[in-house]
Amino acid sequence: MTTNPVIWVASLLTIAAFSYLYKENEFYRAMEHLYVGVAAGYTMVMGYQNVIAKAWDPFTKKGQVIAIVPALLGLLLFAPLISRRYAWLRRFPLAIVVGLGAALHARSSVVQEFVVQIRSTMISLTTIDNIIVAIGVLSVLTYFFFTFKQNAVTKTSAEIGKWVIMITFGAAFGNGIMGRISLLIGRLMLLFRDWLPLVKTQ
Amino acid sequence: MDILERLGRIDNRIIYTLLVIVLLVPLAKPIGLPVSVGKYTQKSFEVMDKLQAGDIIMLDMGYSISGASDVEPQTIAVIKHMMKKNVRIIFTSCVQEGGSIVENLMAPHEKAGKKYGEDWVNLGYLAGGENAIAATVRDLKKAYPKDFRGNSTDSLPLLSTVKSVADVKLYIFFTTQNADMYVRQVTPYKIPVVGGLISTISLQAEPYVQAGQLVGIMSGLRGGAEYETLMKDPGFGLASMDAQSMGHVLIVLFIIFANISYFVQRSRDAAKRKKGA
Amino acid sequence: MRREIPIVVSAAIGVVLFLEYFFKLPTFSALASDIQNWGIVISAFALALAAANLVRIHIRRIGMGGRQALHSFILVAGLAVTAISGIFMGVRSKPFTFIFDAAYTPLAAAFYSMTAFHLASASYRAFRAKNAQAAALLVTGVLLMIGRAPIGEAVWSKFPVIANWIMSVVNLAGSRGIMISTSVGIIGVGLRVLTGLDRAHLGGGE
Repeated sequence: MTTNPVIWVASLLTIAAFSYLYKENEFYRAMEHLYVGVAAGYTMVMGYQNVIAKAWDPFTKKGQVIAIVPALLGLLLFAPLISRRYAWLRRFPLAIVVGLGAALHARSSVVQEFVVQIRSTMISLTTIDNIIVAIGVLSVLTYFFFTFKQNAVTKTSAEIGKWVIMITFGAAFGNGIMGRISLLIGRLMLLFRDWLPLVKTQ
Repeated sequence: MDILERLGRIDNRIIYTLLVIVLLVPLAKPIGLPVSVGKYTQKSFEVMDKLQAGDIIMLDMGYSISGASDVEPQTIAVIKHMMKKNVRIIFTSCVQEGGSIVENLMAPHEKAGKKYGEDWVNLGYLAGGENAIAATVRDLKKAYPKDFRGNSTDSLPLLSTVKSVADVKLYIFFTTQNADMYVRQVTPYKIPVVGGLISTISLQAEPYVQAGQLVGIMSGLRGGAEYETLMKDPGFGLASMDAQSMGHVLIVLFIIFANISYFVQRSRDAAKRKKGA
Repeated sequence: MRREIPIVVSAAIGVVLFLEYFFKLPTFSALASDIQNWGIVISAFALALAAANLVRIHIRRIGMGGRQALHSFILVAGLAVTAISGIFMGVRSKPFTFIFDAAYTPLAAAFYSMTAFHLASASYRAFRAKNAQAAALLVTGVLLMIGRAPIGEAVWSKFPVIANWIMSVVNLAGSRGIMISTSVGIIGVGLRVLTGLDRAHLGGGE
């Protein structure tokens, strides 16, 4: 059995978290709250590092006055916590972040997820697989036509699209189970290889 | 209630116990099922194997620690591969835990002689998700004035020739979120991009590989096992594959039994209704 | 003014970023880079805001006493110890790395891995082939699970071939169709936000 305190603490906390599988209990609730607290604390540390590196140090050590402006805007996010009267101040930093996110997302989406993907669907229809891909993409697109009345052709196409989507989701389901099983294997390795030496790996 | 009906009503705790046993037994006593290598992992390996000593790559540690068991074996295998080839790595991260994860994964390599600042650097986490990725690949030192260890990025020799992602030979990301933001922000720079993805989202990246936006992808624990096979260096990935197989068999059996019970119950109910009518 | 100025700011940012992306203008490029870096700093404050809100709520619960007070105390204590060790002792200090390795990592992994149990239970209880399409979903899932695991190949060499075909043909078609559809939606929503037609992010009130 290991004497490493990290593994001991990690294993006991893992068992406390897993105790939920038997019945909800106080240990599980305590672990839930501990996790949220530690995660929030970790987040604060990372936020602090970013602010110091990108705003505080350039302002104090390099004299870049403009560097403190985003920090002041960031502080405006806390306005609702101080007083409801000043809650509207948070709209300015929010406008920047939301505008930035929307613009970054939309501009690149046009090329990378729209144009490139459509172009890649225009493949030579010389193999069955390519025909299935082309028909599949078109039929899935027609499935998402919700804003006008569908005729016989689009209805049939949408029905094919539904089947393609079902198979896609089935594949995602299979892969999802793969992912979850591997996460559980990781925890079992912690408990039964690192903590209790029941499992030996290379 | 006969056995077929009972098949559909097993207690949850029995299911959980069965799952644990079925996973533990092959971990303790491996079966040794061979793992074949998929074409996407093969492609990813080949593009990374072509790198030369001294080449610089950028690696984004975009997976959260909760999903580490699925994607970390690939990450460990890739890092080992790169360290073996003396390829230099710039680590970035768009998730909070990334910096700490890098420190843990690189600790044995640093102990083995890989110099921080010359062979690798850990720039740590940058807030903002996709915006952080966009800012990093555009102007690395502007996005990261300091690294995870508090050093000024101007002082790091590895970064002296790197302004943006266009100055590196390859970009590789490991993520539990999605590949979309990397494709959107990195592929316009026209360098090879490889993705390591958690199993749950790897299928969504298929269109990007077919379109050539991603050179290759590695999918979950299986991807890690495949990479370890190509590296001829077995690790956690390969060690877990037998357990993964047994886990899948159990889930499939659950689905089959439950559906058998369902169909039997349905036909009995239909027969009862017919009799009653 | 309190609503109009933020909308103008969003719109201006959108114009700069779009022009810079599609026309490669150096002035806009430098401006876009600065805006992105400002966004990073503001996002970092947003992280702290989430933590601050959490502290506010749970300190109130501690004050109210009762059963919840102990749990809230654990939360606030965990937050405080982690934050103080990281900020004042450094992210590579022994206390901070101990908390990361011994508490944060195993708890995060444990909670996420519990979904394996719930998925096993759900597979057993809820996944019924009630109609043809549900059956198609189930059969595909089963084929993929068997095909992607080494046991599938050991039982029948064609299982991996079938699984790979599903992934690289049918799944490709479905994922691409969904991707194109969502990108149209994203472009639409993005333009609505940037032009001020969508103001939900500004919140209510004056």
